[in-house]
Amino acid sequence: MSIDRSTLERGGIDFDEFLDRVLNNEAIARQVLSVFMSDGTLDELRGAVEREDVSSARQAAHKLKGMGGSLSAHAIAELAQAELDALHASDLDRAAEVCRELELSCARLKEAISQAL
Amino acid sequence: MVQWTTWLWMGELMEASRRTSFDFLDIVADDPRSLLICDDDVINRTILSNLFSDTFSITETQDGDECLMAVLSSPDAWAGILLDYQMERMDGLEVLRRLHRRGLTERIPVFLISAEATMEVVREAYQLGCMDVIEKPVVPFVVRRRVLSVAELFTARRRLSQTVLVQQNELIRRATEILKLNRGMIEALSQAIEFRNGESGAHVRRIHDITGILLRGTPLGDGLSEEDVEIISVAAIMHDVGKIAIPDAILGKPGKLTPEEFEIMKSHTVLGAQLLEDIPQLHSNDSYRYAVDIARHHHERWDGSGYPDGLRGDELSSWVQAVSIADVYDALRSERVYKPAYSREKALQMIVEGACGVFNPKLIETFNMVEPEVSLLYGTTRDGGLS
Repeated sequence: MSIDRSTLERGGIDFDEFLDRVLNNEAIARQVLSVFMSDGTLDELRGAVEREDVSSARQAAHKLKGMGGSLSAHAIAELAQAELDALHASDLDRAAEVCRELELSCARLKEAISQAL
Repeated sequence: MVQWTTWLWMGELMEASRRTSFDFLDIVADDPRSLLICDDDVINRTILSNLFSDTFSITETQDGDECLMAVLSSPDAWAGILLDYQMERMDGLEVLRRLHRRGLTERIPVFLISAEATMEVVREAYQLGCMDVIEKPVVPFVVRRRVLSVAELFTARRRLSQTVLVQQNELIRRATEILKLNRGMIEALSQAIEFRNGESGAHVRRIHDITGILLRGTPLGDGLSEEDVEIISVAAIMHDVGKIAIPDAILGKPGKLTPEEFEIMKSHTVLGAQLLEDIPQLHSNDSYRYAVDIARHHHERWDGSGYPDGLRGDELSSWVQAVSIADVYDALRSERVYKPAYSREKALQMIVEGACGVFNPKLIETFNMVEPEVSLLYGTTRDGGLS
């Protein structure tokens, strides 16, 4: 069964670019999406921001940016970059705000992936 | 003779080229075919593995330590390393530094993969021998082309250097064979001339050895390297080549030579040097300049009473003096058509008394020093004298 393109696109994935990155191999695409589904980096980020642990927060934000890029989930990659910028500027209020936006985007993507697979 | 050696040479060349191309195929089979991926992000590892799984066998590592261990345990296995820059424990740059310290970035192409490498990071990476910095998220056709091009370059370079090594060894082997062939031909020519003299060929071999003993480890050989001594010893073999031009009747005459016959006999020195000068192929041989000097002057004496040029004292080179005394000692210790073989004591006494011409007193002293070693050459040879 092929992956449902429109559901993933609604979740924020640039489907063509993503499929191109895995050389149109759907098995690999599923594998990668499944990894994202069970990934706990967002929780790490939220915890670190709450603890005001900037260093751990940056690591988590960096990881999220990488995953967003790999999945061609551009909004997530951009928000993760905004989070890195806020952390770099030690603006923790802004970091908490961006973290909430990231949570919304990730939740929307996870919902879409669970429907698409 | 020339044709025969040319055929031999061409045959060897063809054989060598066959061997070389065979070795080249062997090397191709040994090319590294594994790609090492180091990234702490499983999604990125999966994507990169998938990009190269058709070309390489893939090994994934998830941190710098694991990556270093994989490289160090089999440094020749890797066609390339894809290294993530930002990892939680040891980052990619630190891995690169450690690979560089061990000279491994010269042998294995390393690609740094990063989403946010600054100019400073990129500069240091290149200084450490990193071949390319690739941006994340990766664009498949870009990363494939960049990695494969560099991996191919490294493989070609490795093959080329191994081929050069194989060919270099082949050249050294052939050069050694040519040297042996030259030496063999020099000995064959000199022995053939000695056979006409009614001798066995042992004389030229002993002159070679005595010259070596005299120049090695005595003041007579000061300033000569071990290689020089061997070159001079080979040159000494040719001291009597001029005898090829002396008629049998004179060369083999059992009694005393008439003054006219002696004049002809003496000409073997000049003729020998001339003969060597007339072989152009010999001129590039390391032994040549010594051989000409020795052939012409080995009958010169310290007091100027020798022939053909009446050189005296320090006008005689140390090698000419070495060969002269070796030649006289060997003639005295050996049986000839006109004399029996003399004992060590008698031979030395005759040299000291100047029965065969005057030698440099220091040379006689030196010869006395090494004579026990020289005398060992006579114990077992059939034409050697009693010791």
